[in-house]
Amino acid sequence: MILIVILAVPLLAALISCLPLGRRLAPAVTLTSCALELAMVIAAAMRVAAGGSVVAIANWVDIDGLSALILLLVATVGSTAALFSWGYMAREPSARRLRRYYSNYNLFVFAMLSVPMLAEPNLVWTGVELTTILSLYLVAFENTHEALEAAWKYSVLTIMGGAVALLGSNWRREFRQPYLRPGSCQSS
Amino acid sequence: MANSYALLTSLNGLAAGLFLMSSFGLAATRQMQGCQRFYIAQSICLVVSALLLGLGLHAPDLLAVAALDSVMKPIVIPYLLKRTVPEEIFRRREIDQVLNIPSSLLIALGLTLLAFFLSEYLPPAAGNIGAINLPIGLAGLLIGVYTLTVRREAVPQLIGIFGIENGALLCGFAIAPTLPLVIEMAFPFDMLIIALVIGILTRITQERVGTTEVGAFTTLKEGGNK
Repeated sequence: MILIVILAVPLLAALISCLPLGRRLAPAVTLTSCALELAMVIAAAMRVAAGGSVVAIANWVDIDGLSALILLLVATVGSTAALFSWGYMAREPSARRLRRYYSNYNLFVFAMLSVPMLAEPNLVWTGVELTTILSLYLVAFENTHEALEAAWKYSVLTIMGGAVALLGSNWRREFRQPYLRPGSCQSS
Repeated sequence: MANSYALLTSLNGLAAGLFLMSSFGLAATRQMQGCQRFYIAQSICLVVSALLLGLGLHAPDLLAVAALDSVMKPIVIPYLLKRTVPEEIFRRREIDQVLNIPSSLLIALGLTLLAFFLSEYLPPAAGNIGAINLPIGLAGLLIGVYTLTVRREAVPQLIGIFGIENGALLCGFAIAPTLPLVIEMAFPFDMLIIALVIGILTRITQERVGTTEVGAFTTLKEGGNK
């Protein structure tokens, strides 16, 4: 259950960040939601560390030790970046663009958190592609020549990597054991 | 029954061969419009191959994927590109590729041989019918990566990405014909969003920077043009 809440919080924060209720609302909501996510991720990770498994939907959404570690990293970086954004984005003159930034930031955090939680390799692939698409707006946010160049290079490289990983995830799904060619030596 | 399986296998071989030819076309065309047409041809071959594999392996999932892809890839994605990317970019020709066309074709040929060699070492496809999909999908993927590397304009680079994805899917159909439908459905929609997002990025780049020759963007490179 806690995993579903961890995923729902950034989505809710993204929705609230869109509301035009003053310049302070979006950063405050984002920072609060990121801190809340970090606290919940720590709780889930403690449960995994104690030997329990955290399962929201069997075979679809669950975490093991490695996922808990990645989740901790994502939540930590997400909350520190939200803190940094507060001061950094304060110079943005347009309140509308500010709201869009924070809304997109929360969606990006949602995508990042969903990747280690998903159990099906092909859905993980979809999650990774989602992080690329959502972060593209953040990279190109300033709309300058440099920002657009960075966005282009970033998107081309990650999507190309994603397309190759698509093949890998199919193989991973069909051949859970390491594949050995017929006739090749089997090492003990 | 055995006869129809053999017929499906040969037809699938034909579709895969045409797929490879359109990959070569993708690497060798100078015109943006031509590039897009080769992508459409490649997608149609992909759909036909999915259909034949679905019939041969009795996998209804693949038939559903073929039906979805037949709408998404050759129709919706080119339409979206046309809507988002300004018309004038599509009328252009790309004059300076990093390597000229004959060398590109020779390299593509080399990549195809490499793909056939590599596929010997990879896990086999499900059933005899999809065996040809592995080397040809891999070749399509490698030629797509090559196209992406040597092209300097935004649209051919984007179509190179679609070529890579088509190659990966051609392999994927043969390796895992019975993926859950939900997952198979995610791929075409994902590509749709990518086409939309990168199309918009191309349009903004054209408006802000005045060119879509992304190969000439070197501001962020160390020692690049400031």
